[in-house]
Amino acid sequence: MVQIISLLMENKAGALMRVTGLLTARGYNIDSLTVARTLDPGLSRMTIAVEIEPQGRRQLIKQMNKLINVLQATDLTDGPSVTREMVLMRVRAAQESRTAILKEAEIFGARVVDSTIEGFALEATGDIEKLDEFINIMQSYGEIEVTRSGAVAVSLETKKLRLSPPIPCGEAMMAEDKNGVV
Amino acid sequence: MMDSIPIVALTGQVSTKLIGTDAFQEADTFGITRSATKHNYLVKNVKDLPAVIHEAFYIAASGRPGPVLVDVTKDVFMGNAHYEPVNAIHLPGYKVYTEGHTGQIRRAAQMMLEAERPMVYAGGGIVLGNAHEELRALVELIDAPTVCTLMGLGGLPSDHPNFISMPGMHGSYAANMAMSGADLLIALGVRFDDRVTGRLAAFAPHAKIIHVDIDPAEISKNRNADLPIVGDLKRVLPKLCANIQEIRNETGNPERSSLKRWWKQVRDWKEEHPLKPVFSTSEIKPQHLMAEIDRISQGKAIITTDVGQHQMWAAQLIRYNAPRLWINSGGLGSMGFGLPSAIGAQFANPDQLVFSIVGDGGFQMSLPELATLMNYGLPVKIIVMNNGYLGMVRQWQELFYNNRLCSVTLDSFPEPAQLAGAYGFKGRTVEHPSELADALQEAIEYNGPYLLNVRVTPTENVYPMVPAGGAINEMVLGPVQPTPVA
Repeated sequence: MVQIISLLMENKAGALMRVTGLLTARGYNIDSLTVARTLDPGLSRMTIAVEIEPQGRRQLIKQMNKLINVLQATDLTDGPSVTREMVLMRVRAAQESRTAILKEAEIFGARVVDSTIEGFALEATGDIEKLDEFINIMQSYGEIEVTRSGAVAVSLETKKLRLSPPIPCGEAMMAEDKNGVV
Repeated sequence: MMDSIPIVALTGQVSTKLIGTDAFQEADTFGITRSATKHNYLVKNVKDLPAVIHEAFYIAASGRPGPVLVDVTKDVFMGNAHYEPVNAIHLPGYKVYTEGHTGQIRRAAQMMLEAERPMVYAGGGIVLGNAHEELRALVELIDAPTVCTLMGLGGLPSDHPNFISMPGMHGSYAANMAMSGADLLIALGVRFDDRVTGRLAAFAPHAKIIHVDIDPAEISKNRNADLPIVGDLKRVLPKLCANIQEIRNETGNPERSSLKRWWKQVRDWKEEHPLKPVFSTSEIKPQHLMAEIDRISQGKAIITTDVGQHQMWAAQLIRYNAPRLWINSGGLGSMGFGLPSAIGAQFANPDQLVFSIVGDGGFQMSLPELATLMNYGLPVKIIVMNNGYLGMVRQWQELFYNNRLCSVTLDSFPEPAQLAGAYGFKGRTVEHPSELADALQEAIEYNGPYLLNVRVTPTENVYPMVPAGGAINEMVLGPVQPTPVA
C-alpha cells in the first residue's frame, strides 16, 4: 500500500540522499517525492509517497527520525491529512474538440496556461485519484504530454515538534562540567 | 555501525574546485560511506571545520554510538582561518533519550517481581553504556539467570554465579533452553539479532519482553516489546533497582518458591550439557587451545578475534570477568578484524596481556598489520588456530551442503618462525597437545609480539549449533553419530 510520509528536515547538502538511502537500502521504490524549503529557509519539507508493506512502516519512520538532519518524520497514511498533487499537461487538440476540452477542464477545475493552434497547456491540482481521472479523460481527446508534481501533503493535526537544544561544547562544556562537579 | 562502535574517521578529499571532475584519486567518499556511518560530513570551507569536528565527536559518542566520517577537501586541510571557539553545536534533529519513562520503569519493576521464570538477556549496550556495575546490581537484586550476547560478554563477569553463558546459534544448551522457558525476558541493550533468536516465531515463546535500549528504532524491530523503555542503561537500571526495592518495602519480600524451582531447572540444564572443552592425546583440539588460554587469562586478558569457529570457541570457553576484554566484530562478522583490533587494544592498554586469536584464513587477511605491530613494538600475542580450512564455512558445507566442500581449503600457511622473523619477532608452530602449555608460556614471556601457530584438528565442528532458521531450543549438541546397522 502507498504510504505518505511527511518530513521536516534541515536544508543541507546530502540530507535528501540520507532519506532516499534509507528507502533504497530496504528495496523500496519511491512513488513520488517532493521537497521545498519552508518558512524557515534553513528547513525543508519533504513529502514521500512510497509503497511499503504495513509491518515495515513503523520501523521506517523510526529510522527516518534517527537521521541527524531530520527534525520530524510523520506517517500521514492513517491520520487526518490532506494530499494534493499538481499536473501540467499539453493537449494536442483538433479544432472541433477545443470547446469540449475547455469544458472538461472547467469541470476538473483546471486552468489554461497556454493556448496555441495545436492545442492547450493545462494546469490542474487535486487529489491523486481525481487527477488520474482527468488525465484519462484528456487522453481520449488526443495526444497528451503530462508532468505530475508528485504528492504534497499536510497533516491536519498539530504535532508537537520537539527540537534538541544547542549542546555546549569546547570551553563552554568544560565550564558546565566544572559547575556540575561543584 | 552494527556493533555501535564510536569512531571518528577523517578522510582526505581532492580540492573543492576539483570535486566532480574525476580528478586523480577522487572518490565520492561522502556518498559511499552514507550507509556505513551514523552520520558523515563533507567539509568544503575551512570555517566550517571547527563546528563539524565538535559535532562529529558528539554524534559518534552520544546516544547509540557509531562511526562518523568527516571528508575534508585538500584546500581545507591546507587552508588558514582565524579560530573562533565553538561554544555550542546545533543539532535540532538529533534526539538522545537517556532517562527512561518513569511509569514504564515502575511497571517493569512490578513485572520483574511478579515473574516466576525471569531471565536477563544482556547485550553490547551494557558494555557500550558502561552499565556493567548497574547490571550486576539488578541481576543480584532479582536473582535472575543471565545470558550475555556475543557483544555483551564481560557485561556480567563470567565467574558470576548468575551468569549462564552466551545464547544463540552457538550458545550453550542451558542458555537457549532458559530463554525458551522463561516467562519474562529482560532485554538490556540488545537487538534481538537473528544469531541469538533463531526462528523468531519460536523465540522465547512463553516470555513477556521488557526491552530497554537507547535507540528507539530497536524497540519492537524484531520482537514486539511488551514493555519498552527508551533510555541509557546506566541511568535506567539504578532507577529500576530503586523501584524494585520500593515495591518490596511496601509489600514485604516473600520467599519465592517459583524462583527456586526456576534456578533448579536452569542448573539442571547446565549440568546436562555443559560447555566444556574437548581433549585428545594425539592432536590439539581447538577447544583445548581455548581452555589453555582461559587458564592463562583467568578472565583478565584482552582477547580479540576474527570471525568463525575460533571466535565461537573463544566466546564459549574463555571467561571474561570485565567489560571490554572481549573484542570482536559481531554484527558484520568480518575476517581480518582480530589483529588490527588487538593493536588498538594494546595501544590503549600497554601493560595488559592482549591475545589476538585468529584463524589461519583471517590472519592472512591482516598480514600488513604485522609491520604496524613491529613499528610500534606492541607485544600482542597472535594465536593462530590453524585448521587448514575456512572452518566455519567448511562446517556449514559439511552439515548443510552434503559436505560438498568448495573454496575452503587453505593449504599454504607461511612458516611462522620465518614470517615473524622477517619482521623481527618470534614465531613457532605447535602440533602436539603436550607442547601447547609450554608454547603459550613462551609466547607470554617473550618480550615483544609473538606469533604462535597452533595446528588443531582440521575438521572439528562448533557445537551446540542451532541450524539457521531453527528454533533455539532445537540445538544440535554434537556430531551426529551414524546409526549402527542392525
